[in-house]
Amino acid sequence: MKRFTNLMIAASLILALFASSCKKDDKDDTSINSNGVFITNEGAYGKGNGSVSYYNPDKNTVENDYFSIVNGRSLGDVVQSMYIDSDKGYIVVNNSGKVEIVNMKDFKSTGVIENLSQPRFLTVINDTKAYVTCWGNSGEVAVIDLTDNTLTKSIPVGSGPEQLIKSGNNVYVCNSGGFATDNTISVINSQTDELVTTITVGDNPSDIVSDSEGYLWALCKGAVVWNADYTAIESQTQSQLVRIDPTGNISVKGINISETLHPAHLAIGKDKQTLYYGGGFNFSGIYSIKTSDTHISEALFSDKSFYGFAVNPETGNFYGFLAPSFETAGTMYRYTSTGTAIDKITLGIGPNGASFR
Amino acid sequence: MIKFYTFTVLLFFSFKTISQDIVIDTLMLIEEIEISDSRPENSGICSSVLNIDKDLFELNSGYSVSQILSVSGALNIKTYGTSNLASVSFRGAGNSHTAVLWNGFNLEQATSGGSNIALIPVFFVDEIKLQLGGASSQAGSGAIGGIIRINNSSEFNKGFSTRITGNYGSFNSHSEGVELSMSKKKIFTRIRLLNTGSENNFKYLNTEKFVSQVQRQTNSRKYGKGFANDNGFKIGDNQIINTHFKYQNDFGQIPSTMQSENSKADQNDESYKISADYKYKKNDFGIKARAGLFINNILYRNPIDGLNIVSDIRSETQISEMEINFNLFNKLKINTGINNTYEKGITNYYKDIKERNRSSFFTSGKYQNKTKKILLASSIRAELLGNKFLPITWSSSGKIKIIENLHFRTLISKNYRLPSFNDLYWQDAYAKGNPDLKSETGFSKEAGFIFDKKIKTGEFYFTLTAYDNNISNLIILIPEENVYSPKNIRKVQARGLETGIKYSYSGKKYFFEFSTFASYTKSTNKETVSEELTGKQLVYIPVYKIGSLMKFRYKTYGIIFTKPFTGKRFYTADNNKNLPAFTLGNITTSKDFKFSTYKIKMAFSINNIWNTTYQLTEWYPMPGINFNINISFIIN
Repeated sequence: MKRFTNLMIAASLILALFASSCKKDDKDDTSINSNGVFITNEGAYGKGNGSVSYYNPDKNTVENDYFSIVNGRSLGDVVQSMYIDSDKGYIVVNNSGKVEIVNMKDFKSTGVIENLSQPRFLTVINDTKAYVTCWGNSGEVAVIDLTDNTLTKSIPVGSGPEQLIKSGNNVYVCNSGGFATDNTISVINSQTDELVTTITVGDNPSDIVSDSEGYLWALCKGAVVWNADYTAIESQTQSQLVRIDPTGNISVKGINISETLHPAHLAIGKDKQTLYYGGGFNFSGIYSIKTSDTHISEALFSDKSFYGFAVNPETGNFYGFLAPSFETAGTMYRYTSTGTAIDKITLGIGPNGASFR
Repeated sequence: MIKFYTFTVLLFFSFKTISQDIVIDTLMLIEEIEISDSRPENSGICSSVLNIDKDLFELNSGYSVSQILSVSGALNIKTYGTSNLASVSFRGAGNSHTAVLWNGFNLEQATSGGSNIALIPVFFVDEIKLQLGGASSQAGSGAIGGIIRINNSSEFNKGFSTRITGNYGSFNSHSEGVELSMSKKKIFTRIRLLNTGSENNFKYLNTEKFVSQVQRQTNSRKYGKGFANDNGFKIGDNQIINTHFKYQNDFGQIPSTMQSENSKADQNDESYKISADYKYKKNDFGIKARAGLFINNILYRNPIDGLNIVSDIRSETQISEMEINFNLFNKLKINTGINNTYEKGITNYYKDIKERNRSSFFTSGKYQNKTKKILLASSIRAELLGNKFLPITWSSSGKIKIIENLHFRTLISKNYRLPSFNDLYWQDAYAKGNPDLKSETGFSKEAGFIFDKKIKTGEFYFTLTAYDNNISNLIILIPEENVYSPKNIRKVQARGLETGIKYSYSGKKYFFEFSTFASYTKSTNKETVSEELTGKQLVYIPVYKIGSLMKFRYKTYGIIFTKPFTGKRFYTADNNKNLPAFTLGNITTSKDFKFSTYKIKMAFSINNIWNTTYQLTEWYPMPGINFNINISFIIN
């Protein structure tokens, strides 16, 4: 009898294992890889053809238009950025004035944050709160209650608030100037949702990252003023990288990039010690420097004019996004962390960046 | 610089009605009326020409030309929802490849290179004809895909008449029109006044939201006012002067989309159309001169927070033309003339005021043998732009009677479109015009059969046409260092089949008509920016389009049923996404009440009777079932 029981237990265990492994196999086919990469494709303004591409680095495959395929509806007009917070993904759709929320296990739509005025980037503060930078209303950070996805407060900041990053209790918001010029970073206490201070940096800070030592690095694009008929530049200011020490009395140190060239984006490597900058108007190529460097490197990382780029924090691979036009599909170029080209993959229209699960 | 020719030379011309040699594929029947079109002698010979049912626009006098044409199977209209912006494509050609001729004048605006038929109210129109296929040698720049001819008539010896008409319909749509005309033996004069408006706040199901919901369309209001005056003067038996004046002021909001409900954009269009023509004809000899001035002021506003976009564009066109008609060796009818077109564009997006002056020389000849079995016609046009000749455009055509009632016809033509001022000179932070652009060119071939049998009680009509149009040097925007700039690099091949059937029967007290026109259009990229797009169908060009009409009249009762079908249209260049096919149904019933001195016409229309959900541009919803009442009070 005991033998039989043992046999039964063994059999059921095997069955259970088999069953669970079956289940796991099924799940593998439909669910998102734990190291999945999500590329936001803006689409053309007003055309409503923005999308998200799901890239699986293990299989080196991409599934374009992933949100529409999973949810059976379009994502919206100008897909600006995406933020992943463990099991939830927040897709910021600029000209639709909304943030679509998806379950990161299967990308199914679970909610929406609406009535935002030109939203750009989102950061989750804690389980119940997120900040969204918005260009509308003269520049604001919208405070979102994640329990019911509603707007609870608007914090006025500078013009064109772009990327934001949480460091300690504070959130640093780059005021990129938007359609004009700004030269500040707004610092917000994420517990009280009050503005703590405003730091003056170079002109038009847009992207911000944190390094291995806890310093924050912001890219200031510099300002470009055109003449009335856009045939000549009337005046322009220095582009620079600024290092912010968020401890104590917040201090700033700058590294000049160029007086005439204006890189638009910044990313940090897997080592958290390598900065990549480049892309944007009148700026071809990507350059990299070490956070310990005191001046700009002359060595080109890539000669392509990427519309946006990102570094995979797990593999260290660099993904550059080329948007040949806003009518045709863009392309992702993969490189190793040292700049050796790997391959390229077709994406949606106007790819501008990626987020990592 | 301004080359606005006045009528210093006295001229002669015919004011005969439409030449009987014009092949008219009457999709929809109209009574023959006197028109003041350009070159009726040889124009449209051996082309497919469709008339648009006059009842349709008399009973829907608050509509625009684009709304009326949308039921036709011969063309494709794209609008941004219910906005005042419509573009027309014929035979798979581009939106800017349709020439719109108003009383023979090409309404192409130099700034944008197009003309907007959503802003032409049918109340100001007496006749609409569609000429399929390229005909630049007759109509000039833009006529690569086809021509829309919009005409005003001058009717003499009809006495005084007054027409007061009102339209009231769903979504607070309304229009009020007054027409006064005086028609004597030698003088004709007519005044028309029109006021229109609509909220267009229809309900629709927004499927693109987190939870699909029924909501009202926003930012979709439009309203307008217009004044038109047409005059005709007969001098002796052989001369006539016509003058036309039209003023319009239209405001239209740019509707929100299903994805972005925050549109605040709007556009105001103000236009003046002024023209005069003088014609003389005696026996086989005639001369004609015409001049026109066309002004458009477009103010577009999009108050995005922090970026208040305002574009103020003024375009001005002055056209003058002279031509003579005569017979050579009895058999050969010749028409030859000269056209001068001066264009001006003003906007803060150009560095300075832009001007263009061009002169064209055109000649056409038509030969018909004694038995009228064979008809041959050719035309040629040379255009001088500044001091440089543009490539010559021409057409050559023939029509042969095979058996009684059955004709074979063929037509080959070379056509062009000049680059617009926006293509050449636009300058902002994102786009830069290219002053070195060349004209877009089309080379088109077509052939077909017409069977037309008129009997006492009615008519049976059948037509079949195959065409092939190679369009080269197409202008597209190419990104260069993050600035878009237009280049002549695209090639498109548009080919297809068209067929039309019409049957009409007139009894003592009743009249019945059925007509349908179907087109099959393959319009694909031959060369373009990326190889992956080669062979792909152009966006928004449906492969299949069918327009059907059924009309029945009994005594003073009438009913018209139209059923347009539009096949699926791709809206991405890679053809991965499409708008599904849709069929609409529209019914107009009418009743005339006749009294001794006046007449009342009442019509009730139900549009989109099956409440079909459809889109003409992706994410712009269109209204479901809707109603319209038209009441006209006519005193003769």
